Amino acid sequence: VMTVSYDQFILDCKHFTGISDSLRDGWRLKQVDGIVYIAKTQIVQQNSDNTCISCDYHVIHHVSYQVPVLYFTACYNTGQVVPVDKIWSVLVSIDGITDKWSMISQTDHPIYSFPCYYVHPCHTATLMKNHSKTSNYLLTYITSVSPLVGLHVSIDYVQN
Amino acid sequence: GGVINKVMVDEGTRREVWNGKIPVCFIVDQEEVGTTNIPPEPVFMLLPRVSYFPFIYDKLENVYGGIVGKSIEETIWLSFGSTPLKWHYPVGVLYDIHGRSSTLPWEVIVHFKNYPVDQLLLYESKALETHFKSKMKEADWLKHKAEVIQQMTPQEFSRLWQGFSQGSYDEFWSVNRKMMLNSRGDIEIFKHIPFCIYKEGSKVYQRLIPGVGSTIGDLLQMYVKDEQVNSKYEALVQGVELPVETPLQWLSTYMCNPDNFIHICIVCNT
Repeated sequence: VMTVSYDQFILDCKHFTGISDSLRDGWRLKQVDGIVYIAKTQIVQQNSDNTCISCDYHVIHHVSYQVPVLYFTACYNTGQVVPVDKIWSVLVSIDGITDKWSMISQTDHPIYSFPCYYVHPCHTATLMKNHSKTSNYLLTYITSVSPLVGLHVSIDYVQN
Repeated sequence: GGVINKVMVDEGTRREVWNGKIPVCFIVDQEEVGTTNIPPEPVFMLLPRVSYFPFIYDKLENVYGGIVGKSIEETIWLSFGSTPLKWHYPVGVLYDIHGRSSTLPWEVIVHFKNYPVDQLLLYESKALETHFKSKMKEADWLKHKAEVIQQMTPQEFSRLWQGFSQGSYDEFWSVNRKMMLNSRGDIEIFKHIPFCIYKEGSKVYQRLIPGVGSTIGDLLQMYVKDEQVNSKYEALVQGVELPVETPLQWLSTYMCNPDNFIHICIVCNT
Protein backbone atom coordinates (compact mmCIF):
# COMPACT_ATOMS: atom_id res chain seq x y z
CA VAL A 1 0.00 0.00 0.00
CA MET A 2 1.44 3.32 -1.03
CA THR A 3 1.39 6.03 1.60
CA VAL A 4 2.54 9.62 1.67
CA SER A 5 3.94 11.40 4.72
CA TYR A 6 2.30 14.58 5.96
CA ASP A 7 5.44 16.60 5.13
CA GLN A 8 5.42 15.31 1.56
CA PHE A 9 1.67 16.00 1.37
CA ILE A 10 2.30 19.66 2.27
CA LEU A 11 4.91 19.94 -0.49
CA ASP A 12 2.51 18.31 -2.96
CA CYS A 13 -0.26 20.74 -1.89
CA LYS A 14 1.98 23.74 -2.54
CA HIS A 15 3.01 22.36 -5.93
CA PHE A 16 -0.59 21.55 -6.85
CA THR A 17 -2.03 24.93 -5.86
CA GLY A 18 0.82 26.58 -7.79
CA ILE A 19 -0.39 24.88 -10.97
CA SER A 20 -3.99 25.73 -10.06
CA ASP A 21 -3.09 29.41 -9.75
CA SER A 22 -1.48 29.44 -13.20
CA LEU A 23 -4.61 27.81 -14.63
CA ARG A 24 -6.91 30.02 -12.52
CA ASP A 25 -8.59 26.80 -11.37
CA GLY A 26 -9.57 27.96 -7.88
CA TRP A 27 -7.81 25.48 -5.52
CA ARG A 28 -6.76 27.25 -2.31
CA LEU A 29 -4.05 26.26 0.13
CA LYS A 30 -5.54 26.36 3.63
CA GLN A 31 -4.06 26.15 7.10
CA VAL A 32 -6.34 25.71 10.12
CA ASP A 33 -5.02 24.93 13.61
CA GLY A 34 -1.70 24.12 11.99
CA ILE A 35 -3.28 21.60 9.60
CA VAL A 36 -2.51 22.17 5.92
CA TYR A 37 -5.01 21.07 3.24
CA ILE A 38 -6.44 22.24 -0.09
CA ALA A 39 -9.98 23.34 -0.90
CA LYS A 40 -12.06 24.25 -3.92
CA THR A 41 -15.65 25.33 -4.46
CA GLN A 42 -17.40 24.30 -7.65
CA ILE A 43 -20.87 25.32 -8.83
CA VAL A 44 -22.94 22.71 -10.62
CA GLN A 45 -26.05 23.86 -12.40
CA GLN A 46 -28.92 21.42 -12.56
CA ASN A 47 -30.51 21.41 -15.98
CA SER A 48 -33.78 20.04 -14.67
CA ASP A 49 -34.81 23.14 -12.75
CA ASN A 50 -32.00 25.71 -13.15
CA THR A 51 -31.08 25.51 -9.46
CA CYS A 52 -27.41 25.69 -8.54
CA ILE A 53 -25.59 23.30 -6.28
CA SER A 54 -22.45 24.59 -4.63
CA CYS A 55 -19.91 21.88 -3.79
CA ASP A 56 -17.00 22.30 -1.44
CA TYR A 57 -14.14 19.85 -1.97
CA HIS A 58 -11.40 19.42 0.62
CA VAL A 59 -8.39 17.15 0.23
CA ILE A 60 -6.98 16.43 3.67
CA HIS A 61 -4.17 14.13 4.84
CA HIS A 62 -5.62 11.16 6.73
CA VAL A 63 -3.54 10.63 9.86
CA SER A 64 -4.20 6.91 10.40
CA TYR A 65 -3.87 5.75 6.79
CA GLN A 66 -1.24 8.33 5.73
CA VAL A 67 -2.92 9.08 2.39
CA PRO A 68 -4.82 12.08 0.97
CA VAL A 69 -8.61 11.81 1.27
CA LEU A 70 -11.28 13.80 -0.58
CA TYR A 71 -14.15 15.14 1.52
CA PHE A 72 -17.07 17.05 0.01
CA THR A 73 -20.34 18.75 0.90
CA ALA A 74 -23.05 20.14 -1.32
CA CYS A 75 -25.71 22.75 -0.68
CA TYR A 76 -28.21 24.86 -2.59
CA ASN A 77 -27.83 28.65 -2.83
CA THR A 78 -30.36 28.84 0.01
CA GLY A 79 -27.74 27.19 2.22
CA GLN A 80 -29.87 24.07 2.51
CA VAL A 81 -27.99 20.78 2.41
CA VAL A 82 -28.49 18.71 -0.75
CA PRO A 83 -30.29 15.45 0.14
CA VAL A 84 -28.46 12.15 -0.34
CA ASP A 85 -30.48 10.95 -3.32
CA LYS A 86 -29.56 14.12 -5.19
CA ILE A 87 -25.90 13.57 -4.26
CA TRP A 88 -26.03 10.22 -6.04
CA SER A 89 -27.96 11.40 -9.08
CA VAL A 90 -26.30 14.76 -9.72
CA LEU A 91 -22.74 14.43 -8.45
CA VAL A 92 -21.62 10.89 -8.03
CA SER A 93 -21.09 8.57 -10.95
CA ILE A 94 -19.54 5.22 -10.19
CA ASP A 95 -19.92 2.93 -13.17
CA GLY A 96 -19.87 -0.78 -12.62
CA ILE A 97 -19.96 -0.62 -8.83
CA THR A 98 -23.21 -1.86 -7.35
CA ASP A 99 -22.56 -0.78 -3.78
CA LYS A 100 -21.83 2.92 -4.00
CA TRP A 101 -21.68 3.25 -0.24
CA SER A 102 -18.58 1.02 -0.18
CA MET A 103 -16.55 3.75 -1.86
CA ILE A 104 -18.28 6.93 -0.81
CA SER A 105 -19.71 7.27 2.68
CA GLN A 106 -20.59 9.88 5.22
CA THR A 107 -18.37 10.92 8.07
CA ASP A 108 -17.67 13.90 10.26
CA HIS A 109 -15.23 16.36 8.70
CA PRO A 110 -11.86 15.63 10.39
CA ILE A 111 -11.25 19.29 11.23
CA TYR A 112 -14.66 20.95 11.53
CA SER A 113 -16.77 17.92 12.60
CA PHE A 114 -19.78 18.66 10.34
CA PRO A 115 -21.22 15.79 8.27
CA CYS A 116 -19.72 15.38 4.82
CA TYR A 117 -19.17 12.72 2.17
CA TYR A 118 -15.77 11.19 1.58
CA VAL A 119 -13.97 8.68 -0.59
CA HIS A 120 -12.89 6.02 1.89
CA PRO A 121 -9.09 5.87 2.35
CA CYS A 122 -9.10 2.10 1.76
CA HIS A 123 -9.81 2.91 -1.89
CA THR A 124 -6.85 5.23 -2.26
CA ALA A 125 -4.62 2.18 -2.81
CA THR A 126 -6.78 0.98 -5.71
CA LEU A 127 -6.96 4.46 -7.19
CA MET A 128 -3.21 4.94 -6.86
CA LYS A 129 -2.07 1.69 -8.46
CA ASN A 130 -0.94 3.44 -11.62
CA HIS A 131 0.95 6.13 -9.74
CA SER A 132 4.54 6.62 -10.78
CA LYS A 133 6.93 7.60 -7.97
CA THR A 134 8.28 10.51 -9.94
CA SER A 135 5.04 12.42 -10.15
CA ASN A 136 3.08 14.39 -7.56
CA TYR A 137 1.13 11.86 -5.41
CA LEU A 138 -1.61 14.38 -4.68
CA LEU A 139 -2.05 15.17 -8.38
CA THR A 140 -2.44 11.47 -9.24
CA TYR A 141 -4.94 11.08 -6.40
CA ILE A 142 -7.08 14.05 -7.43
CA THR A 143 -7.15 13.12 -11.11
CA SER A 144 -8.15 9.54 -10.15
CA VAL A 145 -10.89 10.43 -7.67
CA SER A 146 -12.40 13.46 -9.38
CA PRO A 147 -14.57 11.63 -11.96
CA LEU A 148 -16.35 9.86 -9.09
CA VAL A 149 -17.54 13.05 -7.46
CA GLY A 150 -18.32 15.46 -10.27
CA LEU A 151 -15.08 17.37 -9.82
CA HIS A 152 -13.62 18.85 -12.99
CA VAL A 153 -9.85 18.60 -13.31
CA SER A 154 -8.25 20.03 -16.42
CA ILE A 155 -5.84 17.90 -18.47
CA ASP A 156 -3.47 20.88 -18.22
CA TYR A 157 -2.56 19.80 -14.69
CA VAL A 158 -0.89 16.69 -15.97
CA GLN A 159 0.70 18.36 -18.93
CA ASN A 160 2.11 21.17 -16.78
CA GLY B 1 2.46 -13.37 43.47
CA GLY B 2 2.75 -9.79 42.21
CA VAL B 3 2.32 -10.63 38.52
CA ILE B 4 -0.92 -12.54 39.07
CA ASN B 5 -2.39 -9.70 41.10
CA LYS B 6 -1.62 -7.21 38.33
CA VAL B 7 -3.40 -9.39 35.77
CA MET B 8 -6.46 -9.60 38.02
CA VAL B 9 -6.48 -5.83 38.53
CA ASP B 10 -6.15 -5.18 34.80
CA GLU B 11 -8.91 -7.65 33.95
CA GLY B 12 -11.04 -6.12 36.69
CA THR B 13 -10.51 -2.70 35.14
CA ARG B 14 -11.69 -4.01 31.80
CA ARG B 15 -14.89 -5.32 33.40
CA GLU B 16 -15.46 -2.07 35.24
CA VAL B 17 -15.19 -0.18 31.97
CA TRP B 18 -17.74 -2.55 30.40
CA ASN B 19 -20.11 -2.18 33.38
CA GLY B 20 -19.90 1.62 33.75
CA LYS B 21 -23.34 3.20 33.29
CA ILE B 22 -25.04 6.56 32.86
CA PRO B 23 -28.59 7.15 34.14
CA VAL B 24 -30.55 8.87 31.37
CA CYS B 25 -34.02 10.42 31.41
CA PHE B 26 -35.59 10.63 27.95
CA ILE B 27 -38.33 13.16 27.30
CA VAL B 28 -40.03 13.67 23.97
CA ASP B 29 -39.84 17.07 22.25
CA GLN B 30 -42.90 18.96 23.50
CA GLU B 31 -43.34 20.79 20.20
CA GLU B 32 -43.81 17.50 18.40
CA VAL B 33 -46.47 16.31 20.82
CA GLY B 34 -48.66 19.37 20.53
CA THR B 35 -50.33 21.35 23.26
CA THR B 36 -53.65 19.52 23.18
CA ASN B 37 -52.10 16.25 24.31
CA ILE B 38 -51.16 15.25 27.86
CA PRO B 39 -47.33 15.35 28.04
CA PRO B 40 -46.03 11.78 27.75
CA GLU B 41 -44.15 10.21 30.65
CA PRO B 42 -40.36 10.37 30.59
CA VAL B 43 -38.46 7.11 30.09
CA PHE B 44 -35.59 6.24 32.42
CA MET B 45 -32.73 4.01 31.33
CA LEU B 46 -29.38 3.00 32.79
CA LEU B 47 -27.15 2.92 29.72
CA PRO B 48 -23.64 1.45 29.45
CA ARG B 49 -21.01 4.11 28.85
CA VAL B 50 -19.49 1.99 26.10
CA SER B 51 -22.79 1.55 24.23
CA TYR B 52 -24.42 3.74 21.61
CA PHE B 53 -27.83 5.45 21.65
CA PRO B 54 -29.02 3.65 18.46
CA PHE B 55 -29.08 0.41 20.51
CA ILE B 56 -32.21 1.77 22.23
CA TYR B 57 -33.75 3.66 19.31
CA ASP B 58 -36.34 0.87 18.87
CA LYS B 59 -37.43 1.17 22.52
CA LEU B 60 -37.87 4.94 22.20
CA GLU B 61 -39.76 4.58 18.94
CA ASN B 62 -42.11 2.07 20.54
CA VAL B 63 -42.85 4.44 23.40
CA TYR B 64 -43.09 7.76 21.55
CA GLY B 65 -43.46 7.03 17.85
CA GLY B 66 -47.22 6.66 17.97
CA ILE B 67 -47.76 9.75 20.13
CA VAL B 68 -45.98 12.07 17.69
CA GLY B 69 -47.37 10.36 14.62
CA LYS B 70 -43.98 9.31 13.32
CA SER B 71 -43.96 8.42 9.63
CA ILE B 72 -41.82 5.76 7.92
CA GLU B 73 -39.52 8.37 6.36
CA GLU B 74 -38.80 10.11 9.64
CA THR B 75 -35.72 9.15 11.64
CA ILE B 76 -35.36 9.49 15.39
CA TRP B 77 -32.69 11.80 16.74
CA LEU B 78 -31.64 12.96 20.20
CA SER B 79 -30.47 16.22 21.71
CA PHE B 80 -29.21 17.63 24.97
CA GLY B 81 -31.00 20.93 25.15
CA SER B 82 -30.64 22.33 21.66
CA THR B 83 -27.44 20.40 20.88
CA PRO B 84 -27.99 17.36 18.63
CA LEU B 85 -26.21 14.26 19.95
CA LYS B 86 -23.99 12.44 17.45
CA TRP B 87 -25.33 8.88 17.30
CA HIS B 88 -21.92 7.46 16.34
CA TYR B 89 -20.26 8.67 19.57
CA PRO B 90 -20.39 6.32 22.60
CA VAL B 91 -22.98 7.27 25.27
CA GLY B 92 -20.27 7.85 27.90
CA VAL B 93 -18.36 10.19 25.61
CA LEU B 94 -21.49 12.21 24.85
CA TYR B 95 -22.19 12.48 28.58
CA ASP B 96 -18.60 13.56 29.36
CA ILE B 97 -18.70 16.18 26.60
CA HIS B 98 -22.19 17.58 27.16
CA GLY B 99 -23.75 16.34 30.38
CA ARG B 100 -21.01 16.38 33.00
CA SER B 101 -22.09 19.57 34.66
CA SER B 102 -25.80 18.79 34.77
CA THR B 103 -27.52 16.77 37.50
CA LEU B 104 -28.27 13.08 37.10
CA PRO B 105 -30.26 11.54 35.54
CA TRP B 106 -29.02 13.11 32.33
CA GLU B 107 -31.96 14.65 30.48
CA VAL B 108 -32.03 13.83 26.76
CA ILE B 109 -34.73 15.01 24.35
CA VAL B 110 -36.23 12.66 21.76
CA HIS B 111 -37.15 14.07 18.33
CA PHE B 112 -38.66 12.61 15.18
CA LYS B 113 -39.03 15.67 12.99
CA ASN B 114 -36.62 18.11 11.33
CA TYR B 115 -33.59 15.81 11.35
CA PRO B 116 -30.57 18.18 11.51
CA VAL B 117 -28.73 16.93 8.41
CA ASP B 118 -26.18 19.72 8.72
CA GLN B 119 -25.07 18.41 12.14
CA LEU B 120 -25.83 14.69 12.30
CA LEU B 121 -24.80 11.85 10.00
CA LEU B 122 -27.67 10.09 8.26
CA TYR B 123 -28.87 7.03 10.14
CA GLU B 124 -30.34 3.73 8.99
CA SER B 125 -30.43 0.33 10.72
CA LYS B 126 -26.99 -0.89 9.56
CA ALA B 127 -25.22 2.46 9.97
CA LEU B 128 -23.92 1.82 13.48
CA GLU B 129 -22.49 -1.62 12.69
CA THR B 130 -20.81 -0.22 9.56
CA HIS B 131 -19.31 2.62 11.56
CA PHE B 132 -18.13 0.25 14.32
CA LYS B 133 -16.48 -2.09 11.82
CA SER B 134 -14.73 0.84 10.17
CA LYS B 135 -13.38 2.04 13.52
CA MET B 136 -12.10 -1.44 14.39
CA LYS B 137 -10.27 -1.73 11.07
CA GLU B 138 -8.71 1.66 11.61
CA ALA B 139 -7.70 0.73 15.17
CA ASP B 140 -5.98 -2.44 14.00
CA TRP B 141 -4.31 -0.60 11.14
CA LEU B 142 -2.77 1.72 13.74
CA LYS B 143 -1.84 -1.08 16.17
CA HIS B 144 -0.79 -3.90 13.85
CA LYS B 145 -0.91 -2.61 10.25
CA ALA B 146 -4.27 -4.47 10.08
CA GLU B 147 -2.53 -7.88 10.29
CA VAL B 148 -4.76 -9.11 13.13
CA ILE B 149 -8.14 -7.97 11.78
CA GLN B 150 -7.30 -9.42 8.38
CA GLN B 151 -7.15 -12.84 10.06
CA MET B 152 -10.59 -12.39 11.61
CA THR B 153 -13.31 -14.50 9.99
CA PRO B 154 -16.81 -13.14 9.29
CA GLN B 155 -18.13 -15.53 11.98
CA GLU B 156 -15.70 -14.08 14.52
CA PHE B 157 -16.70 -10.57 13.62
CA SER B 158 -20.33 -11.57 13.91
CA ARG B 159 -19.67 -12.89 17.46
CA LEU B 160 -17.87 -9.67 18.29
CA TRP B 161 -20.80 -7.53 17.16
CA GLN B 162 -23.39 -9.79 18.75
CA GLY B 163 -21.50 -9.82 22.02
CA PHE B 164 -21.18 -6.06 22.07
CA SER B 165 -24.70 -5.17 20.94
CA GLN B 166 -26.20 -7.59 23.45
CA GLY B 167 -23.96 -6.55 26.32
CA SER B 168 -22.15 -9.89 26.69
CA TYR B 169 -18.64 -9.18 28.02
CA ASP B 170 -17.43 -12.76 27.65
CA GLU B 171 -18.66 -13.19 24.09
CA PHE B 172 -17.20 -9.86 22.98
CA TRP B 173 -13.81 -10.30 24.65
CA SER B 174 -13.47 -13.94 23.54
CA VAL B 175 -12.83 -12.47 20.08
CA ASN B 176 -11.52 -8.99 20.90
CA ARG B 177 -8.67 -10.31 23.07
CA LYS B 178 -6.95 -11.12 19.76
CA MET B 179 -6.87 -7.42 18.94
CA MET B 180 -4.61 -6.89 21.97
CA LEU B 181 -2.00 -9.33 20.63
CA ASN B 182 0.02 -9.34 17.44
CA SER B 183 -0.77 -11.59 14.44
CA ARG B 184 1.25 -14.42 16.00
CA GLY B 185 -0.78 -14.23 19.21
CA ASP B 186 2.02 -12.69 21.28
CA ILE B 187 2.02 -9.62 23.47
CA GLU B 188 3.65 -6.77 21.58
CA ILE B 189 3.51 -3.02 22.06
CA PHE B 190 1.14 -1.35 19.57
CA LYS B 191 2.85 0.51 16.76
CA HIS B 192 0.49 3.46 17.23
CA ILE B 193 -2.26 4.06 19.78
CA PRO B 194 -5.82 4.40 18.44
CA PHE B 195 -7.38 7.38 20.21
CA CYS B 196 -10.02 10.07 19.74
CA ILE B 197 -9.72 13.40 21.52
CA TYR B 198 -12.72 15.58 22.33
CA LYS B 199 -12.21 19.17 23.35
CA GLU B 200 -14.72 21.99 23.83
CA GLY B 201 -17.63 19.89 22.68
CA SER B 202 -16.25 18.23 19.55
CA LYS B 203 -13.73 15.78 18.23
CA VAL B 204 -10.38 17.25 17.24
CA TYR B 205 -8.03 16.38 14.39
CA GLN B 206 -6.32 13.11 15.16
CA ARG B 207 -2.54 12.69 15.33
CA LEU B 208 -0.20 9.73 15.44
CA ILE B 209 1.27 8.69 18.76
CA PRO B 210 3.49 5.61 19.17
CA GLY B 211 2.69 2.87 21.66
CA VAL B 212 6.24 2.85 23.02
CA GLY B 213 6.68 5.17 25.98
CA SER B 214 3.66 7.42 25.40
CA THR B 215 1.62 8.74 28.30
CA ILE B 216 -1.46 10.88 28.91
CA GLY B 217 0.95 13.76 29.53
CA ASP B 218 2.28 13.40 25.96
CA LEU B 219 -1.26 13.65 24.59
CA LEU B 220 -2.02 16.74 26.66
CA GLN B 221 1.18 18.34 25.34
CA MET B 222 -0.09 17.76 21.80
CA TYR B 223 -3.52 19.22 22.33
CA VAL B 224 -3.21 21.82 25.05
CA LYS B 225 -0.86 24.80 25.10
CA ASP B 226 2.19 24.19 27.30
CA GLU B 227 1.31 26.59 30.08
CA GLN B 228 -2.14 25.08 30.53
CA VAL B 229 -1.08 21.46 31.02
CA ASN B 230 -1.37 20.32 34.65
CA SER B 231 -2.84 23.62 35.72
CA LYS B 232 -6.29 23.68 34.17
CA TYR B 233 -6.75 20.84 31.70
CA GLU B 234 -7.30 17.20 32.52
CA ALA B 235 -7.88 14.07 30.51
CA LEU B 236 -11.04 12.07 31.17
CA VAL B 237 -11.31 8.44 30.05
CA GLN B 238 -14.52 6.53 30.85
CA GLY B 239 -15.39 9.45 33.08
CA VAL B 240 -12.22 9.07 35.16
CA GLU B 241 -9.61 11.86 35.41
CA LEU B 242 -6.26 10.26 34.66
CA PRO B 243 -2.80 11.13 36.00
CA VAL B 244 -0.38 12.39 33.35
CA GLU B 245 1.97 9.43 33.88
CA THR B 246 -0.68 6.90 32.74
CA PRO B 247 0.84 4.86 29.88
CA LEU B 248 -1.26 4.88 26.70
CA GLN B 249 -0.33 1.27 25.91
CA TRP B 250 -1.96 0.16 29.18
CA LEU B 251 -4.99 2.41 28.59
CA SER B 252 -5.40 1.06 25.08
CA THR B 253 -5.30 -2.51 26.38
CA TYR B 254 -7.56 -2.16 29.44
CA MET B 255 -9.64 1.01 29.19
CA CYS B 256 -10.42 1.25 25.51
CA ASN B 257 -13.94 1.19 24.14
CA PRO B 258 -15.21 -1.88 22.27
CA ASP B 259 -14.16 -0.18 19.01
CA ASN B 260 -10.58 -0.49 20.33
CA PHE B 261 -10.13 3.28 20.52
CA ILE B 262 -9.37 5.20 23.72
CA HIS B 263 -11.88 8.05 23.81
CA ILE B 264 -10.40 10.98 25.74
CA CYS B 265 -12.28 14.10 26.77
CA ILE B 266 -10.04 17.04 27.58
CA VAL B 267 -11.81 19.10 30.18
CA CYS B 268 -11.07 22.42 31.77
CA ASN B 269 -11.32 22.51 35.56
CA THR B 270 -11.72 26.18 36.37
